[in-house]
Amino acid sequence: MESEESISKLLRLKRYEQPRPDYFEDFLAEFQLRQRAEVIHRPFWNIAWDRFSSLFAPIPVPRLVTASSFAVAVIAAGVTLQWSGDETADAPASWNLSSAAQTRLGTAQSAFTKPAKRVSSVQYVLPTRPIGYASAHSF
Amino acid sequence: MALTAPLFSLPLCAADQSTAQNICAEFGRIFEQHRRSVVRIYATDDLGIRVGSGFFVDPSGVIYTHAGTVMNAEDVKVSFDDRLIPARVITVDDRNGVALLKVDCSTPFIPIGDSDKITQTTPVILIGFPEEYEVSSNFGMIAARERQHLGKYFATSHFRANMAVQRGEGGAPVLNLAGEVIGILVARISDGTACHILPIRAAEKTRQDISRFGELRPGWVGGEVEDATAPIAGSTAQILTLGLGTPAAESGLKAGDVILSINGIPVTCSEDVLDAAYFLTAGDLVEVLILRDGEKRSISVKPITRPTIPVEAAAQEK
Repeated sequence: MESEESISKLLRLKRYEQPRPDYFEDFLAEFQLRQRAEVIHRPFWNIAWDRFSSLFAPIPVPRLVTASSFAVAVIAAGVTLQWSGDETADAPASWNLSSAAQTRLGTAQSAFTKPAKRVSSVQYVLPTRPIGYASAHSF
Repeated sequence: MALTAPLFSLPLCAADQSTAQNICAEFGRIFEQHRRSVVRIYATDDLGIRVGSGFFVDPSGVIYTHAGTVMNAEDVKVSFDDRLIPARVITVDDRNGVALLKVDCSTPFIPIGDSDKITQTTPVILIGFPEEYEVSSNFGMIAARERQHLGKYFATSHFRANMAVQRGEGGAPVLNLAGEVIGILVARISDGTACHILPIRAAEKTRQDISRFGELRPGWVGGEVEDATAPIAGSTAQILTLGLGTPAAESGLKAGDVILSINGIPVTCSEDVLDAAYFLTAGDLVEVLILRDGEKRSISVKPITRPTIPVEAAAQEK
């Protein structure tokens, strides 16, 4: 019984409890601020996926099909980029007279893209000192 | 006075102009005559492509080039008559810095000149492939014959020429005004405004060894020389020590002997021994003219290939 009385007393007090006057004025701004904060704290891929999904929202295609198509496109792009990188690194194998300048220009790119593979550099020979030396006092 | 000056100067200008035209015409003739004999060398290895110059020295396709171009190369090609043809490396001589290549076709060639006749102020022409450019000619002058560079002795004397050179011209032929090759470009000096040229006679030692033995056979007799305080019979080159068991020790040479010539090449100081020793061939008898106790003697020595380990000095006998 005592508990019923205390609860009813609390409810009566709450009935007269009012928020401060500026609460409703700032309510909308506060709501939008919290909404943006939530978006910022979401991972990038989650946001990107939402945006991407919204593009296809008007098209009546199942979500699984859309996701699969996107994955295939990403893999294809990756394979294409890798292939072109290999061709640049293997340029010296098809060496000919006319490709001297091109190979020379491509040196830096090749060295950065594939350091572990053969580096295509052109070195024009004329050192600053002769190769052989000897002792002048022996024969 | 102002009117007469041009009258006096006219004949001189005309003569100068004529001389300059003649020189240019002569250079042009030599360049056109031999430009086909000069080739560009491409050598590939794990690090990339090395490009240098070279030239034919006989009609069977033997090429002289710079050792640094083809050393340890996996594949060597030569551009000749707008074709890229494979070349075989016959030898790389790390003593003089030249290499011999061979292509399987008949070729033009540059005749060999006498590099011993080259003196200071001799005008020379270089024909080579600078960097990615086409075959080019250059003109310069022999400044001196040098035995050392930056404090180290060459294997043999080199010409120093006042002639601007560029990368890619290593191995290019240097010609006299008779159109004969008298040297091979082996190094540039500092920024390339001058260069070192290996005399063709020194390069020919490599070719002779290969044609005679199929391998390089530099000779060594095992003697050490020093300069005496005063010349004796015109020479200060005195034998200091003889290696134990070396051809020099076994031939009868002794420490204290003054060397006057080696195989006919005059020796006046210890540095002269450098050039004389360079041309020794292992297995070929060599005559060493010495002065001992005021008496000239000729001693025959048979050089061997220089051993790879140091030889202990024999007891000095004076």
